[in-house]
Amino acid sequence: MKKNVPLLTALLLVSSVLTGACVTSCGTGGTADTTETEEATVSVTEEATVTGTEEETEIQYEITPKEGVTVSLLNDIMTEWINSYKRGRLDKIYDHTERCEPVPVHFSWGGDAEYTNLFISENPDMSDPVVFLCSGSELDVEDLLPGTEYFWQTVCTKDGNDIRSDIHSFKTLQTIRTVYIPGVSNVRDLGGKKTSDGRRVKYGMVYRGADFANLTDEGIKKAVDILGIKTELDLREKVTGGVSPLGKDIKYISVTAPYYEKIELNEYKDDLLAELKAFVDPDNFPIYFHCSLGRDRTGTLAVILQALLGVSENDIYMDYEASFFSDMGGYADTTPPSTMLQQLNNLKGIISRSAKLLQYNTRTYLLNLGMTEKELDAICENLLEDVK
Amino acid sequence: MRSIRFTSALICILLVFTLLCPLPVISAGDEKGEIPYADKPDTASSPYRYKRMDVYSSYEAAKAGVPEGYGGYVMKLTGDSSSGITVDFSNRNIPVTSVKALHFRVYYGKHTKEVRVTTDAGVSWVLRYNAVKPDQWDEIVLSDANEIKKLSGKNGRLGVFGFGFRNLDDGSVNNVAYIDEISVELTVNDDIPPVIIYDGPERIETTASKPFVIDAVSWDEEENAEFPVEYIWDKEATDGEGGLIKGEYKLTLRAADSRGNTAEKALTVIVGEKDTEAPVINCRLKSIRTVAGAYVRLKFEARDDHDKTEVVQSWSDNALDRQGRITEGTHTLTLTSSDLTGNTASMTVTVTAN
Repeated sequence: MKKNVPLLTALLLVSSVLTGACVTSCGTGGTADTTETEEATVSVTEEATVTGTEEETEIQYEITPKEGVTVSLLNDIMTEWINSYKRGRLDKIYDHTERCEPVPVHFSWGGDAEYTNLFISENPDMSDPVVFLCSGSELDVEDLLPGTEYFWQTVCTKDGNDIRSDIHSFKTLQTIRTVYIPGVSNVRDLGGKKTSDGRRVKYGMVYRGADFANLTDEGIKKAVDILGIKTELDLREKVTGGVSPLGKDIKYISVTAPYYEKIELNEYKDDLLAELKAFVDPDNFPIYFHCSLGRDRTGTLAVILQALLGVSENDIYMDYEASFFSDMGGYADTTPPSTMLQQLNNLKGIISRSAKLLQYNTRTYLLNLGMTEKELDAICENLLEDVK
Repeated sequence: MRSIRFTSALICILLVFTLLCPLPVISAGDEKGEIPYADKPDTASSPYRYKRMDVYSSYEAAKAGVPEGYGGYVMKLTGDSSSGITVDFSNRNIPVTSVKALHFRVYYGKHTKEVRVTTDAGVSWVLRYNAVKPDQWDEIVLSDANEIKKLSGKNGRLGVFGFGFRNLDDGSVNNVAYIDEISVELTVNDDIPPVIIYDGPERIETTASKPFVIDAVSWDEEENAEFPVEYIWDKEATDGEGGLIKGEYKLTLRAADSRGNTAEKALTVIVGEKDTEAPVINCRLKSIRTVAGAYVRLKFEARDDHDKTEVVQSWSDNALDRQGRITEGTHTLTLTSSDLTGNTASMTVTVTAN
């Protein structure tokens, strides 16, 4: 939806030298409508000063994301579900469509530059930016993080001259983080969730998802080169000498994992311990753990891990239920989510008798299982960080 | 003759519509109705009887220890000397003459002697299948037209019959068998040819010494399938290397479905002089400056008088890391674009990353 919004006036400086860190803004800022909460395209007027000639020109262009806007990295259906989340409300089985995927952020800045360096940073001074060298005046950027304020700036080059824009900012909606790995369904990053001790789960450390049966070369590249996955934890069946489809350099750990109330069965005790011990060694991270669908055995481990870390029960359930938006997790059989959720309740009942004591009781449960205090502390240390 | 299988009540209704229209429907078969039984768990109405019947969703089946290999819902029957169910297709309005085969996907143990179909409570048999594949999923097919006719109910429609497992008289009890699916394969008359989908001009002008490429596909609604499009030229149109020869041709596009129903479309192809001009790459840049570690998302285009062309980018050694980020230093980016005749344009851009 396009709305009438105030024009943004900014001063652009044309420079012939492109500075690497892009730490200074030559713009004057300007006024911007910060009340809009939806992503929109806005017509913007900027003044440009050309160094050397003292000549001022007016450039008309459109920028997105609009200044101050909050954008969701999820598709509309998942965003709506999260915005009005109520545990157990989900009752729909979907249709083999992968809806559990992130939506890239669309950047556009207009102009007729020959090429542009787009800087994106989490810091207002544009330090430690991620840089994209691109042609054209728009770019879709993937793999940004939810619940983060971003600052961005362009340096557009034409005829050898660099035009540095103002620094713009936008926020991403705090949601679960879905991840796109070509050929893999139901992938999420466990990171970003706040914990009871005021910290949060680190992004980019633990990914959960479905199996690699349809993994593509692009998927391998994304998983290994972009996400940097070092360990595949395969929950389907314990095998000897297994090799990860991600490559022989990836550490492969396989177990015959229990799910839901089966964690109580003694026959699965060693496998469950092996699952958890994979998260003790800091050299194993980032870890991708999965079963077939990425919902039941994977969901069971995700619940235990997050409960140990102190993630709220609501966030744990939300993360679990998100599987039903995926191709694999939502359609592989016709058991409705409400039935599956009862399984999750059973699991919670085993590891905790009280929601308030979920973390404490999970820790107690794991100690009784055979984990040590030191190992549990190591898992928390590996996966938690202080919030900025 | 073409066949369609369906397995559920929903699909059945659509299929009746199909027979009248006709439109093709291929079953997905993951509904509870894929086993169209008339029995109830607490009443043993089948001629075979059973001590217990359970119907599981796949999730429940996994928990109940049903052997892997089933899809969707699965039925478990427990009996001593026999067990079976009453299959009821009577409300589905399927002409028995259109039934090509019945498929039964089952699992039985080594105490099972035969798998049987009857219409008269076990007095006579439409099918007696030797249970030779115990402890595995087995698909049993009833395709004898004369036997299938015996399954006719009112008005020549597929009706009610018994289906079950006869076990050995060896004293074994609580013998378990599973039914994954009972489906009907239908024969449908099809005299409609596929449709050739081609959105280009009927008169095509191109140049010599390059392959002939058009976007033409075919689709057959009745078979819900794509069939290859054959190119039939009125005279020899290509040289030994697959390039077109200068001249004017009549080209017939032809597609046939599996029944031999054929569609054709006539085109005229004018092949002119060989194209000798290379594409023009739309890039005035000689050099680019960026930051070491930047992700490269450059795109370039080229134009050509005759063909759609793309620009291929190739970097000098070690210019990009595994993540696609540019490394520090001065690198050469080579842009190349070729047309279908093989005319090639190339240029280089220096990219400096500090």
